[in-house]
Amino acid sequence: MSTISDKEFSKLFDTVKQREIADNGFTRNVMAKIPKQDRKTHPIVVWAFGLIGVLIAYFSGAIFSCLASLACFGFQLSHAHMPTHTTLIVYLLVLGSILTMSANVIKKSWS
Amino acid sequence: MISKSDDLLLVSQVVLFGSHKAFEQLVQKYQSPLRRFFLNLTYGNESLSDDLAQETFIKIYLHLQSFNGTAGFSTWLFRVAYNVYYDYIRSSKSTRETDYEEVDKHSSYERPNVDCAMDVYESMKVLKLDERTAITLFYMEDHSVEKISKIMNCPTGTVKSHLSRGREKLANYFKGTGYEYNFG
Repeated sequence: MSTISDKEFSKLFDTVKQREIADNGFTRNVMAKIPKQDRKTHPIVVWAFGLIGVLIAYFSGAIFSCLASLACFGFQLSHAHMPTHTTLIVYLLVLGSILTMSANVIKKSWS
Repeated sequence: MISKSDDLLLVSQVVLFGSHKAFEQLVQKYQSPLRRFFLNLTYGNESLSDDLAQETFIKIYLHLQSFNGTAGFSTWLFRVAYNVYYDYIRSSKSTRETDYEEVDKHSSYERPNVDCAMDVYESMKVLKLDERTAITLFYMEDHSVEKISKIMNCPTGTVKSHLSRGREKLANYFKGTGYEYNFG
């Protein structure tokens, strides 16, 4: 029958327990053996779903609402005096965020 | 240090965009615990444990879409690793699980106490695969019984039985060999 307690076992295994093993090129070897062509279809899938989204927006009329809002904004801008600093900053921030997000998605889909 | 939520973020980057950089980060994070796990299962055979770890990471990469995130990534990783080792044992034509003679030849990792480590590896030979896996995960990797049950795909009661039988066998082994260990 066992006479060694749980604590004693833990102490015994301390010699090999959670010992950090140096990489020594292991990660590089794994990455070299990973199939490269496996996920080439993914950018196509991403772009296909993007296209589906645009088509849904087109047929549901959402894209026209969006364009109308932009046109309205442009109209107001052309008939207005210089917009206030707050309006301009908010507009630029929104525009900047949209462009950054789009750039990230495009970058990641091609990486 | 990468947190568990970062694991999910990296996994999603690999699945959605096939990001090799994200997968490389996962390999870097888990190479040490995984190689250590195999090292304990193969009684310190470094070349074999590295081969099995490499096979596990390649399988992980190829089947990452099937990871549903209900269990943590590390649980899933160890589960795949356990299956890889199980398959290796089954496919091995030899009746012995590993070539024990290879163990001494390949043991060159830097470790604080080589003799004690080899004694522990030697003692693991008295255990069955399931007992060895449970003992390794519980005492050396500090996993909970619940997590081990998910890795080994068996009830917690079975894991406790494996641990109990493993402890008993090891205690008898150490007594039988007259091994003096300073439990202090």
